[in-house]
Amino acid sequence: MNALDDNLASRDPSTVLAGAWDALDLGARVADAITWEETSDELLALTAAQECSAARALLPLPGTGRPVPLEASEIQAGPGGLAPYAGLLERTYRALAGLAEQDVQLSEAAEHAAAAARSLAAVRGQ
Amino acid sequence: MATLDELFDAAGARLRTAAGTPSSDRSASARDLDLFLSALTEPLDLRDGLGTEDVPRSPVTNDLVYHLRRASDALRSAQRLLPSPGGGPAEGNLPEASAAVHAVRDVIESHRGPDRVPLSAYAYALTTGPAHHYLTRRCAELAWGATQVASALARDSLDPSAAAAFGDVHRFLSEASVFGREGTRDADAAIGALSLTLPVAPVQARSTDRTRDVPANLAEDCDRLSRAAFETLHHRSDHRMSGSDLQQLARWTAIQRLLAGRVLLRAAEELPDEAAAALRDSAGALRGSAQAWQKSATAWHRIVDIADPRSHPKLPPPSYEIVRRGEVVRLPQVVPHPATVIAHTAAVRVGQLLYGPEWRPETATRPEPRAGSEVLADARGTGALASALYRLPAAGWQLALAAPQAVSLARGGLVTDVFEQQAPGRENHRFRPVNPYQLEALSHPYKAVLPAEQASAASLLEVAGQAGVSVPRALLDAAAHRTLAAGQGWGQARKAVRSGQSGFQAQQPQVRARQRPRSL
Repeated sequence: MNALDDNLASRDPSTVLAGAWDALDLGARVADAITWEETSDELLALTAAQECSAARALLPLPGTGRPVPLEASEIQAGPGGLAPYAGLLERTYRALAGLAEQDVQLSEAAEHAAAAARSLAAVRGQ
Repeated sequence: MATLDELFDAAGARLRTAAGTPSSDRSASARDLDLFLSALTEPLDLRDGLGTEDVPRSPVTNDLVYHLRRASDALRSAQRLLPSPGGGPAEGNLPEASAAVHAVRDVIESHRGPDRVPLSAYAYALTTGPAHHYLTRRCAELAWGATQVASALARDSLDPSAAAAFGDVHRFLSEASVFGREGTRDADAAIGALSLTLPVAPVQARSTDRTRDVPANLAEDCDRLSRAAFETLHHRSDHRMSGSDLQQLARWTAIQRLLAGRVLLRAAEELPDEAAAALRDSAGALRGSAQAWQKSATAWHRIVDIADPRSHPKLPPPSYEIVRRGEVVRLPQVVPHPATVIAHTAAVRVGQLLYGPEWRPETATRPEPRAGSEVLADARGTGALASALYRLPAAGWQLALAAPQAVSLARGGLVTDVFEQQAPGRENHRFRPVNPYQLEALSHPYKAVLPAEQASAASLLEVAGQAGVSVPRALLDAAAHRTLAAGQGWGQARKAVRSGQSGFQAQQPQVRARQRPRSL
């Protein structure tokens, strides 16, 4: 995940977009993994996954790199367990919004990323 | 959208009013009745089946048409004996009855294209003998309504020869109606639930939509979705579903099911124990549907559609320089498949019913749901609520049946970054085409959606049945689904609905538990 943050902070737009793609991909997998857990609000989890997919689909496919590995056991229990992922999505939103200035499609992707971050943060309540 | 039953009923009501109102201009009434009789032969003109196949018209239908023609001839004789119609204000009842019968023809025509190609799964249901007899029977009933109009005209006629001609009209129409009703006891009443099929166009929910219109709007959304499924199955659409369309369609459908379940749970709070328990069971079944759909969405995690314009790798992203200079490089334009848009719209609608018209999924809050009594008032009762929500899993079943076909059509553009071994020299290329096993893994989860949707549909029909609300649409769907799937399991549904009990052989999707850490 640190590598993703580095990519999102990069000065090269294509690196930022590739980082955003992988971050959104990770976000969708996290949301899908915890959707049916007892402590989850299923609707918010599904929404988070949906928003991640919608944002990712608006971005160009990264040419290189590897998907971020994720094991179910890596996701910590409790409301705080999702915070790192929601935070990553939040930073993805900022990175995309920074690039979006005049591009409708990228600002749309940024909106989806923001909604994904909000939904994922709220899945396990406050 | 009016169903065939509603249109026939409307025409019948108009005829009754026309017969009960003394005519101020008998010539005009005779002309309008003549126009009505010629309209009445339209739904009976069933010789054209689907494609090149010709369905022979049954002798009963032929007889009915023959008698209707004789009545028309007698009516024309009567018209010749009467003065020309005056220019006074026209009576609206007979023209409105004709309009309703024309609309019957429009409903039938909407299900097949110009070359008689079926445009919906329901087109086949119209080609059976009992379906023809349904139309014959309803037309014969309207012929009976027309006899009453003719006898009123005969009674009011001062000219004895005109009165005699109207008497002939009455006699021929009576024969038409008696023979038509006698010979059509095998009529398929389910056809009466058929309504106009709508084009697969992307429709949006608005916050100005009234929550009491949600059931009607959902019915239209579901009709469009089922037509999208049909077009996919039969390669009727130029716009194929991309990988991301399929994934998002599955997620929105799962969200619809969850919201529908929450609507039922909220309504259950208002009901006595037994009725509430049935609603909670349905909510549970819908949750099963949601899980099955969500599982099919997760199958797309590591697979991307490069033919999907949304993730085209070749276009360069806009550089800071370009953005600063104001020369923005546009990424490819997004054109989601209408079915994906409609699935989103339907999710918003169910949410509006529960949370109010302002609700949107992306607000990501936990709003307070509206009172169960308000929800039930908008839906017009428990039975009507279940009947409205029933359309969701019925359409969902058709989508799940069509989805593997959509996957197969998208096959050429699917790439993945998961593979056993990296090919030498390809280390720098992250994505490569999917292999047949991965393709199969995309299609497979939809198989579990089918029984889950059946269980949801059956459970909602049971709620409707308990509330004393019949869902004629369910019989029609059962027939259409049997044609679609030819033995995929929905076939039992029809018998079950007929005998008034839930006989959907629901198999819950098998969830295989795996012990080792899941890689997500």
